[in-house]
Amino acid sequence: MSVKTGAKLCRHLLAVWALVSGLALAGCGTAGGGEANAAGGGEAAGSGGKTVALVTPQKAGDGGPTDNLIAGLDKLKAAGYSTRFVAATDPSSHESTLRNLAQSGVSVIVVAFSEFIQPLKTVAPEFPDTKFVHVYADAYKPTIPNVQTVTFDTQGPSYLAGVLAATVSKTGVIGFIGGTALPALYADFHAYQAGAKATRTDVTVKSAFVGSFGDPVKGQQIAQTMFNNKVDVVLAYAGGSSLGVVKAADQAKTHVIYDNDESPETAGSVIAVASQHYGGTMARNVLTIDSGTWKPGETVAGLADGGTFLDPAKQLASTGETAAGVAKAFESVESVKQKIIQGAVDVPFNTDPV
Amino acid sequence: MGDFIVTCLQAATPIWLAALAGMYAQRSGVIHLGLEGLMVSGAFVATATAIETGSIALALAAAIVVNLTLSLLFWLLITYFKANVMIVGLGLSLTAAGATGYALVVVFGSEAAVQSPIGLPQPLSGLTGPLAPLGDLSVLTFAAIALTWIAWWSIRRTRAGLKLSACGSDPFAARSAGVPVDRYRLAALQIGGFLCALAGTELSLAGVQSFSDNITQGRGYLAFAAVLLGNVAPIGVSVAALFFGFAAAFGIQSQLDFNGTLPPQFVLMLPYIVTIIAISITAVIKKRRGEQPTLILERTL
Repeated sequence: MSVKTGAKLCRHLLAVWALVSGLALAGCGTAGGGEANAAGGGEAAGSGGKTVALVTPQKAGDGGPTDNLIAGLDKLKAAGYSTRFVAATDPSSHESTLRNLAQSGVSVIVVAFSEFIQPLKTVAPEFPDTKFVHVYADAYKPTIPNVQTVTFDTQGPSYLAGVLAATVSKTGVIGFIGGTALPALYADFHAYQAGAKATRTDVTVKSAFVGSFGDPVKGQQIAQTMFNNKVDVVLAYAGGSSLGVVKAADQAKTHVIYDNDESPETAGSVIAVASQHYGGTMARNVLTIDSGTWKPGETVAGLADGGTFLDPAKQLASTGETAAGVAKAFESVESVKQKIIQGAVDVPFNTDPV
Repeated sequence: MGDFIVTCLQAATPIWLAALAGMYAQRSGVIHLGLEGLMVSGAFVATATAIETGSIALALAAAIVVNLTLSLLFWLLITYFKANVMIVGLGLSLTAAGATGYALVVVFGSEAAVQSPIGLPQPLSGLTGPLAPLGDLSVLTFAAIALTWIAWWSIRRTRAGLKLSACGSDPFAARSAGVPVDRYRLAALQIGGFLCALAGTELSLAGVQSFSDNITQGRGYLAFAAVLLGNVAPIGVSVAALFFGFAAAFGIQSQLDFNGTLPPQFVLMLPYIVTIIAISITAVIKKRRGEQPTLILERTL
């Protein structure tokens, strides 16, 4: 039902918006003349014609990628764009959502995650004047002239997380918990393992996959099992399920490298955050349209430009005596990071199943 | 080993309680596909109340009240409006999933997870030594054990239990014998609502102490499968639910221990495969013995 409501709501919003822009156009009575099309309405509603719409397959408020992207939207708003956000949770509405937005004259449409590959491939060629930025998607082959894909090099921070986990771990057994068994997460695991082994040869890395990015209950059970099997530091790459990992770590007095934004509840066990600045990267890429340096095709955000990062937790002090050790470990993390950026350390990219 | 058993029990408890609910409903002749919805509504109401009031007792009470109301609605729809039981059940599940997701936004302004400051009490948390892992079990796991016994006793050893079973296996005969079938169904659904409230509370407040959109993740349907696998009998469905808990815990443990030999996808689908096989085997055995299938399809008056 949520899906249906979402689609309906979205359609209603679109209808209302079209109506409003139509009225605005009628009010101006100048632009477009007889051709009172939706594109003209978009121009009228936007400030100086710069409108950006963000479409995500998930709803806002997850404290994760979607919220991060919305924060990036705010940056664009500050830069003079008029912004819109559409959560298209129903896959069957993806294509129509994109088409409606493009028809209504939005100049830049940002979509996120791989769900949009097919709809975008269908819709983008129909609107050559609209620019599309696809965040978190692999490069399209062949490239579409008005589509830019943004990939994130998550192996970099995973490698660094391995360095950190191996340094902080007392038992010498560290864990990796992924959302679902995907090639991208396999690559992250191998990078994590490589980082750990490079730091400490005798370290053991255990891995498990929740099977869902939205099942904190199972995430907790997995983490609990890991902590019962000597693991004392876990890299949680499980989205919504990561919250359960944190809860288990609270109980077991162990440590988590987290993939979402920190909250008061993550104090005490989260020692570092490994994630992506989706919003910042998105805003930076959209702003290149103004500066004229925007190019279609693939762009990669990584450690060098801050697109991906491993940062110490803001609430690190709450972890007590571990805090000093983690702060110290970050010195070596920082030096490894510089080496990765310079190319002195090679981070493996290996999507073999774990 | 102790840790493993505790994980089994933790994974099993929500399914177990919901399966008992489904068992009561099915005994009375109502195929209860609304278990998932009642679990998610119970989980949401319990978490929201816990956040607002800081009281576990109030959280449980609120979840029970809401679920009793929803179960009453379910009964009204199938009894007075003669709606199809399956459709109403599915509708309840889907509506509850959507409504709780929407309520999250309205009440908390968030679309992901809201966290509760308190969780369910853990009665054995003081234990040390080899029994220490049992301390992680919530009070509702022990309640599930007691409720299983109560379910067995009430169904096998009381007049009302026999009448309830009659409502499911032959409602016409039951009515001829003077059993108010509709009222028995109402009672069974109310018990189901109560048990699903406990299941939802266990899910959201036992471990993760939070509610996120669609937190049940199909556990209500798994509970429904446990009702069938357990042959609609109190002990049977409990064993089936525990089996699902075991399968979940084994899936986790095997990911850690047999890494590289078993693909994680295979391990994740294992419990469902085993369920299908187990249900098929019981069906074949029953056919050989010449028994009637226990699956009571819609039998209304």
